[in-house]
Amino acid sequence: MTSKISFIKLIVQDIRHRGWTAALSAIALFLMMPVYTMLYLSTFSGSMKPGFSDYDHLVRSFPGLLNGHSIQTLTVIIAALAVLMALSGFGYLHSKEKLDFYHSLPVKRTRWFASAYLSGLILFMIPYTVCAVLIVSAGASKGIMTANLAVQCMQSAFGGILSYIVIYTACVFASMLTGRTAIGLLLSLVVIVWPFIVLNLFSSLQLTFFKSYYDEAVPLSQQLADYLTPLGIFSALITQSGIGELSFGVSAAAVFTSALLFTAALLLNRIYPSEAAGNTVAFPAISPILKVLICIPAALFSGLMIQGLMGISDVNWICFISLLASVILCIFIDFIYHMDLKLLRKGWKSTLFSIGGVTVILCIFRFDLPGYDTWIPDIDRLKGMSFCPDSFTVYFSYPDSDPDSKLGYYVPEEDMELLYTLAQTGINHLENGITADDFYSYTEDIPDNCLPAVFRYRLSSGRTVLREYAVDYDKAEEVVKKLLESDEYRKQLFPVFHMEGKQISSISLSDIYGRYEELLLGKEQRIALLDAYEKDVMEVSADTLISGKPIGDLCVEIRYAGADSSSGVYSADISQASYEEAALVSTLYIYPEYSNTLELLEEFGFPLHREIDSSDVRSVTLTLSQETTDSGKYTEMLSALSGTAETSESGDITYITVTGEEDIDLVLDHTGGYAGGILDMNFNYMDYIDIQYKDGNFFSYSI
Amino acid sequence: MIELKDLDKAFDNIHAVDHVSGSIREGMVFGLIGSNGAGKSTLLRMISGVIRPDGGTVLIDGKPVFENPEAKSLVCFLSDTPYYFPGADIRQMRDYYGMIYPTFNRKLFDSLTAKFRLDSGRKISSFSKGTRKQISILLGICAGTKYLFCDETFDGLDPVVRQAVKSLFAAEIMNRDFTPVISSHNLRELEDICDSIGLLHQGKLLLTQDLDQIKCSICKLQCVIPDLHRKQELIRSLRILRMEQSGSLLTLTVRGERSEVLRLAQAQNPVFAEVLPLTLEEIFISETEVAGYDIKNFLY
Repeated sequence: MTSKISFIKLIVQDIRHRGWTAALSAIALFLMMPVYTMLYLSTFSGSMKPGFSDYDHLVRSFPGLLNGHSIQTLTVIIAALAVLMALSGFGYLHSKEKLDFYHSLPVKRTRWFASAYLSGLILFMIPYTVCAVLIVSAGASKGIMTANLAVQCMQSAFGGILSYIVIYTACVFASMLTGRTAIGLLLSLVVIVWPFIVLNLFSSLQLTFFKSYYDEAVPLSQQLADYLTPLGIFSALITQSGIGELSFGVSAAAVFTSALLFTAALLLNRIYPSEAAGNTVAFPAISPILKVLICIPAALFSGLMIQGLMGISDVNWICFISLLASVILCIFIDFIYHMDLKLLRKGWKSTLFSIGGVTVILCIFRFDLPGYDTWIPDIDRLKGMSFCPDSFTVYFSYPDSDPDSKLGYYVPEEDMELLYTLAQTGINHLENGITADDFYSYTEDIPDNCLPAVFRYRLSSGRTVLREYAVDYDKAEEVVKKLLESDEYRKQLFPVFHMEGKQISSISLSDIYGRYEELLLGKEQRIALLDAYEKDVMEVSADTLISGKPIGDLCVEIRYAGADSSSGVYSADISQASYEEAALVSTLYIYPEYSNTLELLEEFGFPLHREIDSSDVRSVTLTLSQETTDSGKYTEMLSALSGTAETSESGDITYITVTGEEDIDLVLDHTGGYAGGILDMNFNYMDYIDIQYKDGNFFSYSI
Repeated sequence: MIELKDLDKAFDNIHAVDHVSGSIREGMVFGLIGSNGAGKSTLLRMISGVIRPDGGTVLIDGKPVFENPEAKSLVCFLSDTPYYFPGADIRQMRDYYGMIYPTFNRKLFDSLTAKFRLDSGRKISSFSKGTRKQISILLGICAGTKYLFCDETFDGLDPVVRQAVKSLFAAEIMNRDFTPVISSHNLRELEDICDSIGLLHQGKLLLTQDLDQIKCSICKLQCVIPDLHRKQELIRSLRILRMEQSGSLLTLTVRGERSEVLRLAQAQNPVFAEVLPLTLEEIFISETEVAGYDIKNFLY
């Protein structure tokens, strides 16, 4: 008899009884999709032809109008509608009257589930599809619609629907676990957000508590968050499909996660106890488990979040806040469970477990129980090792973005032991309380004779481990000098060896005066200049690189194949592509010892000043901190200045401006370079010299 | 026939239905009576397939009911607080029941709503509580199912409507295979509707019998026996459920045929003796008192 009840009729009836959600969905989507699009399009009054900036901008942003990538309110509405549809569709589980009614009818629970689930999809998808078609039509009427853009729009709409399904199914799953709609809403947020927090928590705790933690790329756990959590998938779907780059991985993750949540919800629906309506949790046995699972990560997250918001650096405060949050959360959850303050103690075991769990995790990280910071692999287990002092990131600029350029290049095997001992100085410093973070902390003094550096250990197992220490400066200098003896290492380290002559589109030159000009050279001249520069780099001594003063630098612009807009092939993203595929490699420093480069520059008609000529200088202003003034470091020089030197003070800073030729000569003798050496962190930013040239140019130097 | 086999259900620490066994025969009005919290609603919801028993089985015409649409199609369950779709009028609910129950008698429903002077186009939420219950009963009767379970549905109906519903039940029983099961603790209302009753107390089924049979098997004896020995002998010879002594007047609620009880009383040379029939309410009080539910326990 039951089979005669039409499934479609059940869906139609369900939709009819949820008419208000249908109306809300249609109105919200209509306003935020076609209406907004029409208003948006009306703001473009320029020419709508390929190559025009308005056209380019509109074409790039247009697919995002379909899924909220270009309008965040739509993203919020998609998510809100998903939550609303799920809670209204399965709200019958949370009402005794409704449950008695539905579950007494001769229809299987799976049918109720399927009809409610599908009607929730239909209630969104029909207005959404209609609105998407209207948007595409609006785009076509504006004259921007091409086959390529239409495909991108379809992809964007597909991403919007998939992202809705992910959130919707997550909320349906949450509804199955609860007996009250309000709690269903809370648990929906937990199901959507909780896995994201958990996956991000591990790396965040490492970053906060471990002093030697370093990760250049997004940690694996955070990458997984984009594929394994409803929030991550939702965000990735909107972002990727909104720019027409929806990956198979994210789409598959969305389908898989939705299927998983759907199956779990369906199974729960089959065993959902009808008497659960009105209870906080539908399955009382899972109440303490849920509480512990929510409380521990949420408490730790609270601690980290407050740390981030308030800029707390003391990790003890984070521990305190996390523990306090765990207590408050336990009380809050117990109150939600029982709605009775007198029954708060009923869940004392799970409360104890939650607080204990938070304490254990905090102890592991706070006291570094795994020995993360002091860990260093046995040298026998090392297959390779690299290091990258933070000064390298200032000194070098690479055209490629491979990890080696950020983490340093693997050192020759014979130098590994030397580097290993350097790493040990970092661990020793760490044990004495000196860390790489101290160089960037406002609350800590910058450690003397130390240098922050990232180490990369490649283990024999194939695993790569990163650490960051404040290493001994003298030892680092020794290591760098030794490493620079290797031609191979030099070639890896210096950016000039990372470019191909045919890719170079232009070269610019900055001199010691801070003047910048593009070198109008032919292709062969450019290649010859860089060849000369390469030769100089291979010959220059490590001492020059460490403590020499550069007298200029080259800046090379590289264009990769396909970035040429004159290729005749126009795509919607061509301007984006050309922007991304052009790279500037700056700070190719030139030292007085770079004879080959300097000769060639002179030959090409671009001679470089070797030093600052005082006759070119109008005035020099010294800026000295109170600390420097008190130290008497420059007393002798300052006392030798004539009476024309003007001194002024502002707060703790003293400004001394000299205009006399002798005074200028005197100060110029104390002028450092305009750029630091290969191991220079340039932390003395409180003392510097500003030179005002007679040609109107103005440039700063270290003192 | 509805068969309950060792049916058991507990909520947290409350044993709502405690290993209940019994049967409900077809073609009669069955009343399920019990004290507050006795487990009537839980039992009915289990029989209707709304909730899953922790143990035991419910068979409707030999078929298990839980998640079995075939068995459920024989049943229509009317909850104590009937549910109607938001903003729905009588016609919409009629159509919905018509979609769910292929046996729904639309013609009968329309004629009944007219007879009960219910405006079919009016929103159900605007009706009074009693009227909403009337609509619920009409929908249940017209669903055409073999069994109709009414969970305290009759509570709150006015006597005229109750009488009308009773007539409807009688007519349906005459016309088709129909067995209403009504739960209530308003015993006066059930007394004139039910043919058979089940008495539920603290999750246990104390008795299931035809109402006439129960009434015949329990009676109230009032007598005055001056001789203390004879009085004691009478007490020993009877199956007493309840005993009260007011002055010299002894009032006993006893099990047994009225004539037999009177014969035993006469045998002790009473000054005065008479046997009275019990109301359903008195039977309920006596039986539950035996099970430990004594009204005197509430007095202080």
